[in-house]
Amino acid sequence: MLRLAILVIAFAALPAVAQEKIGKPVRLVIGFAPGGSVDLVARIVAERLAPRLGQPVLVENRPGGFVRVAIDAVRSAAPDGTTLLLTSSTPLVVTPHAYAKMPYDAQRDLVSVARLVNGQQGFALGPMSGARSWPEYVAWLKANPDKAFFASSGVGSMGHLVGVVLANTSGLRIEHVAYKGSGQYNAELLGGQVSAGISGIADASEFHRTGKLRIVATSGAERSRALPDVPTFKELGVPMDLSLWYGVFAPAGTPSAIVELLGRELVAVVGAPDLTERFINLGLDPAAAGPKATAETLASDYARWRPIVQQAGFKLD
Amino acid sequence: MPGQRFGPAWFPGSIAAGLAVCGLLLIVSGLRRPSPWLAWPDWASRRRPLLGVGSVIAGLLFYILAADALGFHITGIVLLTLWMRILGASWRMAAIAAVVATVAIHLSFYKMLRIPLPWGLFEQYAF
Amino acid sequence: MLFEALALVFDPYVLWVILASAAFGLFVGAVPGLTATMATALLVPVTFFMEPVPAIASIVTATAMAIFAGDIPSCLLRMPGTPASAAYTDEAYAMTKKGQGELALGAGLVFSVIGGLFGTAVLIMAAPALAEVALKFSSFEYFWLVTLGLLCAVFIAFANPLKGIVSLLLGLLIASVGLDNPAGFPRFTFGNAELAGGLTLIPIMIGMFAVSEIIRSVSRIDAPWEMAQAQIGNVFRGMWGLTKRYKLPVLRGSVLGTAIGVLPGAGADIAAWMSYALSKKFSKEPEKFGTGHVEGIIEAGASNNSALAGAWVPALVFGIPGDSITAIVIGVLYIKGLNPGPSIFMENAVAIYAIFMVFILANLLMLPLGIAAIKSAKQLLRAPRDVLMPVILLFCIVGSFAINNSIFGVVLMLVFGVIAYLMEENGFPVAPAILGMVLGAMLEEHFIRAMIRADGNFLVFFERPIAAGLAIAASAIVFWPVGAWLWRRSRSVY
Repeated sequence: MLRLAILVIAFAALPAVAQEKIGKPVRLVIGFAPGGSVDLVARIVAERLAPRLGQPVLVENRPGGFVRVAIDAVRSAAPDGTTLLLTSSTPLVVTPHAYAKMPYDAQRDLVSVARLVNGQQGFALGPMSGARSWPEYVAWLKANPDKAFFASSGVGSMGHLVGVVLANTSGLRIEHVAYKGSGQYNAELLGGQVSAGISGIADASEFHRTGKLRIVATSGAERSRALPDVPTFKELGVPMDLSLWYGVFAPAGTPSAIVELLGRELVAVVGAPDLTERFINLGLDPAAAGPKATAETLASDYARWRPIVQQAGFKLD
Repeated sequence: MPGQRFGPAWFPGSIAAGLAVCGLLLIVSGLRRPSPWLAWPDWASRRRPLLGVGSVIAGLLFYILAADALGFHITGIVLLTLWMRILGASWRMAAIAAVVATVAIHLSFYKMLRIPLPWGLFEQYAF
Repeated sequence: MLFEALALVFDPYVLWVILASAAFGLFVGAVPGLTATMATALLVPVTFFMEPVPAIASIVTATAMAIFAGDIPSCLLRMPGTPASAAYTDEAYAMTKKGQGELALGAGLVFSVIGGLFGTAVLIMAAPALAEVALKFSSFEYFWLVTLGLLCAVFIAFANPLKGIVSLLLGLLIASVGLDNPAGFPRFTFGNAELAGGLTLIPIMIGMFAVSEIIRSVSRIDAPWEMAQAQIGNVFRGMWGLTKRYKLPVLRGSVLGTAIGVLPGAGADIAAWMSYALSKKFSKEPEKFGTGHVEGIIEAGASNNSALAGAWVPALVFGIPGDSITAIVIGVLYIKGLNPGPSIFMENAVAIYAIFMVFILANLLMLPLGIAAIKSAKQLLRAPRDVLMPVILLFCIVGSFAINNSIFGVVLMLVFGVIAYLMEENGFPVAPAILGMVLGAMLEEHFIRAMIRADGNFLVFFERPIAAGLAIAASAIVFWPVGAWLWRRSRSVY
């Protein structure tokens, strides 16, 4: 009887084992145009993932609607592991709370494959205000209320939310100007057309290093490893803990064996020591996790962000 | 959205207004010269051109509907052969050219440019 | 240090990479639907295994070739290989029909090289200074610049300006479909995921030029098919004469192209359109434009290649992309440890000099390779029409599919191919529609953003000096012909 049971179990596991191979090139879809930290991370990951899977991994850029187009493309693709989404957690756990109606539901339409890195937003100042620290900037804002604009890389982005929370908690009036990606507003920031920009640290870190811009605060709970001497907003007396993570997702219905395979390989890729250093330079903290852990993080984050978004009055429609 | 008096409807709305104005102007200038409202092109009455144009459109529709299921090779060869025949090539010429062209295009786009053309019925032989 | 850079560039491996990338760029540019940006994106995985200099060299060479190669099918078949070529496709094709295709292509080649070298020279000598100027451009300036570009479309439509404007408005309308607008609001999407991504330019361009041309060609199947071809002789014959005759257009095209390339976010496509229109505006023989006249091709060809070089100015100096190609390049630079920004000129001067040399080399290499490409293209096109047309159509299908790896591209190609055929049969030019699509999103984005900054007050659009200058230029373009017309009317009354 026992032998029969073992045989049955073995046969049941066979299809799962047999399927553990991706037979076609893999598309890694991202929601932004080429150039930019998400694109960069995707290309780095794609390069390392390809030899492990034995298949080419191609980065596909599908910009539009703050990752909405990319999410649509992935969730309606064939669930065989050949189409993956690489995105920050923002459009999956933050943005949905800001809209009354959402065309997608991350937990229903996608299956989590892996978490790659954690990141936070940096508040970058350009030459317009002349300020080199947060208190100086606040003083400048109070003196120049008509120039109180901050740039973000998109409507509904984490930078947008950080700005809104900032305005609420500090009582300052500061208006949001959306750009399509940070490359666009860096020019205006450097040129002194807009006084501040809020987006992922990677988008401004190089300018910070060469002194052209100044990141005066970060949005997370602890200081970023890439910028050890930049305080968090919390340290500056503005209570805030807004960070995000980058993850890889597959369409719902992808067989779990494939999800496990991809998750394993992605975690291994992120764990490579030289990549760790590269990520840190980009302002991202490696924090690899497999499918199950990522799915749990997704679910718990989704619940965690709702009150934050609602309290901030972050409504986009 | 706060601070935006010009919402998403403004841009297409203005364009539509512009089109309406231009449309009116065109109608006015068109009314000045008597001509039929709708005219068929003169080639539509001849069999060969009509067949040719029809096959171009029908062939494209066929590709759109069938390429994923049948695969690029089959669809490509079928379409090329058909089109070449309608344009006047011999069966032999059309068949050879169709096969050569389809395979060459597939190889260069798939292998070199990494564009995932559908394998369709040949899925199992995919490389 | 210069010698170190020379040694880096003239290494056999690097030279081989340059040659291979040039061939790759030629192929990609010549196939309608594959763009220079795509060529760059495809090279990125290959460059992972290379040292910085060959990696950048491959991209520089491939893109320079691709932008020129787009002219080949554009001229010979009326099918632009890249959007930059679409600006003067009709002109070049008209030349081909007159038997002057070789002249058109030769001019396109030679003056592309000249434009590219000019842009490279500017890049080498004035990059940091220009970059600072580029930073002065905000949404206000961009708005007027884009408006200026769109007004240029009024000059590209020859017979009937009204129909040209309709075509332009149609292009703008097409551009407004989708989610990708400042409000993030889905427009005209009908709940369809594909439409939410917007209507992509490339398949529509292929449809409007290539498919409509194929339909037209097939409808004339009863008529004998002559590809009026001149002898495949010396492509350079007459080039010196052209250079002397049109030195002002060449200069103007190169300068404008470089300037537009330097501006972040504006690249070769826009440069080509504006230069072509300027060429007509300032030409001594404007009536010849549209009948097959080489002047516009010279200016626009120089312009789009110089824009490629210009785009590297903000990219190298600030790490801000000058166009979509450099957006990808910046990523590659970071990965290779060459961080763009002021530090790159100090810490990696040798690499920078090497890159400059590669630019020069790539542009010079365009001459022999371009000639080879032109000659082989002419040979290929000697194939009988019944075999050639279907194969071209299949290429178009694949090209439309390739941009997003989606069959929706082929749908767009078919739909707009038919629409364009109907348009042209009724005298509506197709080119302004393409320009409207290229510029539509930019126009709205900059207008809305500028409005937010101006808090709804349009007068602010004239406050900044550069913006005011551009606004005056735009108004001049609109009011000058109207004023001239009124002036002539009042004169003729008496």
